[in-house]
Amino acid sequence: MPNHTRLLLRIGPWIVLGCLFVPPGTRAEKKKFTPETLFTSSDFNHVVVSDNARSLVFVSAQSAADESGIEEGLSLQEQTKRTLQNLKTALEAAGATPDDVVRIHIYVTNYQQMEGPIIGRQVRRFFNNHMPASSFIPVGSLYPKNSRVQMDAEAELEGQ
Amino acid sequence: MNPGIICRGIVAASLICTAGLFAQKPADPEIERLNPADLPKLDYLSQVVKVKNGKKFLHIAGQTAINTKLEIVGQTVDAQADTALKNLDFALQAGGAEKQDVVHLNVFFVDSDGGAGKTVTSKIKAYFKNVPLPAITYLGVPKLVGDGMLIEIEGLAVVRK
Repeated sequence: MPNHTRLLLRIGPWIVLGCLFVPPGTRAEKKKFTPETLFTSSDFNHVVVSDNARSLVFVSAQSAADESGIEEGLSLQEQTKRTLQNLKTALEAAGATPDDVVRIHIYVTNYQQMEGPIIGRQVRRFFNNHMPASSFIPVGSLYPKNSRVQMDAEAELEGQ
Repeated sequence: MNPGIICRGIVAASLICTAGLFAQKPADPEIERLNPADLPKLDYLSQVVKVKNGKKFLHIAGQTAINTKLEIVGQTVDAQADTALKNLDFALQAGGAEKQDVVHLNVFFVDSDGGAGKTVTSKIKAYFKNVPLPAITYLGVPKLVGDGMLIEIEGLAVVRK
């Protein structure tokens, strides 16, 4: 038997055991899923359960704004991109990542149905397809007025 | 001018200042309000609010300008915001929480003339004048549940007692 195989056989079980005994509190307890009784969508999960949250994070609706407001003439795609960047910045300030998000609201003005995928694609990438509970809400207007899309979020952190 | 009046003026002014100091409640160390430098500074919300767990939460339904006689008080967003915020006070009180315990708000308003956003954000700013701002989402909507209703404020607060 080659040496490295023997080594692997010797230490392998310990690695497996080590992975099983991660101390409680450091393992994610969030379950994001869609029960069989509800329709499945790649854009969100219907249910998020978490029972080990140490702290909760509330993020105000983020827009494509920077210090000087929202640049005029941005496409919905570009506004979505900048909104998600701001959302990431806000989450990071609280020590959270997209994976910690349990719920989002997506608000869109002048919504046309074909625009859904433009937003959805980027949101899915942001959450790496581990989707939180989510509501998509077309609205009459947002503040500031040239804002086409905004997203707020709630996140839960373990052990902080 | 009579020195007595000046004296009384000074005493009154210092009393008002002292009251102002007391009105500024100390921040709850269990509730962090974060405004990261990379996000725009807005004076009508906190960008992120973090609450250490072990808290009891108070969920408040959308508060509107409707009083206990089921009348809508106020014809404008401006006037209705005052009543809605008064109702928010009642709700907080009933749940054992105060202004500074509010961690999140959704503010829905009917923006008929394009100026409601500005009115609403300054009303909220004034309401939270002496306490830290919650995370807030402001939403202009085509209409609310009842005709004539122009603002609705729903919220989440932590209960400390």
